[in-house]
Amino acid sequence: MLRGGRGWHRGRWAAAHGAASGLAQESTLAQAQAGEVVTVQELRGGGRFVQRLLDLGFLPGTPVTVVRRFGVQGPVEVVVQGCRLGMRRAEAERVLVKKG
Amino acid sequence: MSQTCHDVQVRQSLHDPHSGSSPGSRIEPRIPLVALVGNPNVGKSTLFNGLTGAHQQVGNWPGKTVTRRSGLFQLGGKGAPTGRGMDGTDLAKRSPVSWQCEVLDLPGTYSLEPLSPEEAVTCQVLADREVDAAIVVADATHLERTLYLALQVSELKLPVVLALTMIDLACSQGISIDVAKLATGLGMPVCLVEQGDRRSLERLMETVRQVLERADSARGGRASPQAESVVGRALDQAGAGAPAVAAPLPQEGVEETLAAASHRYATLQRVLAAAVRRRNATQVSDQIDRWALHPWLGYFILVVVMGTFFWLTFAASAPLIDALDQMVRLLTESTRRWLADVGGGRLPAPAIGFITDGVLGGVGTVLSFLPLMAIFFFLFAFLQDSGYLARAAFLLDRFLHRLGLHGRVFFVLLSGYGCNVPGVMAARILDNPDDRRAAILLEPLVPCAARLGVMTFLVGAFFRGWQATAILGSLLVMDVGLVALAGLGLRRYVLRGQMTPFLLELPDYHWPSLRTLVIAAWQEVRQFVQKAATVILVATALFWLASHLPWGVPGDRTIAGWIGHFFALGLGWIGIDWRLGTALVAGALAKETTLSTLAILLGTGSAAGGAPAGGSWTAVLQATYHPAQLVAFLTVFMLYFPCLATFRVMQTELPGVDRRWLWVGVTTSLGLAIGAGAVAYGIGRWIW
Repeated sequence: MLRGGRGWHRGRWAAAHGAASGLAQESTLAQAQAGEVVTVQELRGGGRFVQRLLDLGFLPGTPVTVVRRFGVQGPVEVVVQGCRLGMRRAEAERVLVKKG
Repeated sequence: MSQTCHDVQVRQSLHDPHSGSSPGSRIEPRIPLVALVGNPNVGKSTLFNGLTGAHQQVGNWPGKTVTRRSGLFQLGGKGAPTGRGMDGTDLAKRSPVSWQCEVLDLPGTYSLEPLSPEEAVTCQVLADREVDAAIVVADATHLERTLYLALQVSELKLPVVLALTMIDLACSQGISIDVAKLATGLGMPVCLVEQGDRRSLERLMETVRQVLERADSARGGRASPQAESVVGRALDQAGAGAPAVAAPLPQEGVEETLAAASHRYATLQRVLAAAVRRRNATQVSDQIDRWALHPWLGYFILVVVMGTFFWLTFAASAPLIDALDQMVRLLTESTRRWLADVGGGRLPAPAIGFITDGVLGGVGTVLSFLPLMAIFFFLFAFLQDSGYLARAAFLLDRFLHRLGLHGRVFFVLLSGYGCNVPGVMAARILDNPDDRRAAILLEPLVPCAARLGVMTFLVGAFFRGWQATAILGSLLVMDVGLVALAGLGLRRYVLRGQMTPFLLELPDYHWPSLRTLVIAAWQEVRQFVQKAATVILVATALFWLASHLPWGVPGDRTIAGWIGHFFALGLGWIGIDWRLGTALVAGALAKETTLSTLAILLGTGSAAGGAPAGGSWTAVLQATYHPAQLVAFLTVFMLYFPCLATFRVMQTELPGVDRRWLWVGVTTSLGLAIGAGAVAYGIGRWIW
């Protein structure tokens, strides 16, 4: 009730591109282990938040280092474009990544 | 760092840059407006403080609750702040041009696609070209992300100068930057700015002046007389082709952002590959974060840091408060004698009492807030600037987001412990309107320094040793619990808007400059004096009248006494009698007056000082009240109503239709206060 609701998780961008890019082999940033370096595949959902992620450099093909994870449900700390960011699990789940 | 803009030669301009024949120019020379733009945490405020010093104007953007800061910068001529450069040459001789501009500090943003009202202001000002030029502040240790904004701003075709900060940090991290290549690649002049180096600031502003002059003459169709300078070269090369990003703004939709962002990052990659070399060096921030962000040690460190923070605040301010108190008491007494002498006995006693106890007592109350607030906000700025507060917000977001709140709400509520007035203003940093409203409404539940002071004093006077500590501690823990509960209730049932995604930059740790900290503390104190001092002064004076009129009757027959009796009718069942009721009314005006009011009503001292000699407070309090009564009173006092000054600020910070939330907040806190007071009274009765 508190979060979700008005459509962060579904957006036209994902609808247009999600199916074509082979979701099956991808995992999300939320699933990556601490110390792992992953590559951004695409961003799920749309809207201002995804625009901000893009502005911060979460572009397809960009490497992201997972520095730290706080428990299973807690936030994650990542380094993207040389910049250290903290994000909630819910947000990390919107970044589809590939290992390596 | 092979080449900087050291070699920008300052030359005497042959004509006045502002009297040009360009169509937009006015007859009177206009002071150009230069915006400072940058990501958060890049040292933008430090640069702004360095450029404008104390000559700052802080206000609001018209019609918005976003802070607008601006100040004047003077280059050369009279009023040039430093007479001599580091090499001993006279700066006034070196830059004979007397030139000034107004520097506008725009709210920090990561991109020109705004997420918050603050960022929207930045975007709008730049997109509408309300400024003549922009200085983009970029952090040399995070070039990719900070230069991204520079590219976005340069797409707006504004005259842009890039100011690179954190140079020394970059050096220690093994980053070396070829400034000339960077300037050519980005198509804008680049200046290195070093903290505390006035000359680097003057070089930056000289570059801005030249860029403005060039833009002016380009508009007027004249060739620039200085095309061979570095600025000119960089601009020419920019015109010749370097990054031809022409993505129009504002962009709609994710697709367009993706295209534009990819283009900008690709440009940056190309430019940085040519201009920047990195050696691998261990980063101090990583070392500190290994402990500070440890999954469980991190929380332990957080508690220690916060404990030290509060302890330092109180320990460092106590002697200052005592000294001020002594001074005000001396002033009050000598004024009293002087008035009695000068009047030759003709001045009636009530008038003397009003001037000394009512007015000067009010001044004393205001002054007694200041040392604590100044030190609190100085240390607060230290925590914020050093980068630790961002980590604290990150650690606490886990818990806060279960309550439906953003991790940054922690900043806002924490600053409320200094004073609720700046605390309410601090809610401006929250992007989400519902988070902001909730934080503003929760703020009065945070006991400010004044309330903490009164509570510490009364608990210390009534209880002894460990009991006092335990009672004060449990009151504060209960308060944190109630804030959490109220936050949950507000976000779940009242302010049910969706939550903002949490995306928090964890900036590198760095040692903040003293100047920045002092200016930050000074601005909070000034804000308090501007917004609260008058209210408190008038309130204490009025309350003095209310507690002495009609003249000559005993305390419980005065106007204040009647009000107290009225409240006691409603609160008698939780042990609050008319004296405590009156003290609460006084506290609703200004929290510190509670103590002086109680002192008058209990006959323990004069209104001016509050604390009488020796143990008389202890004796009188213990003779008059049951412990449960006092605990219930303290509970209600901690929660019941924001002081008048806070209330006023809440009114201005909740404009328009949001005003209704003010009443929700006030009723809630009153209800919470009475409920918690009743519980405390019950528990107290059961224990004692």
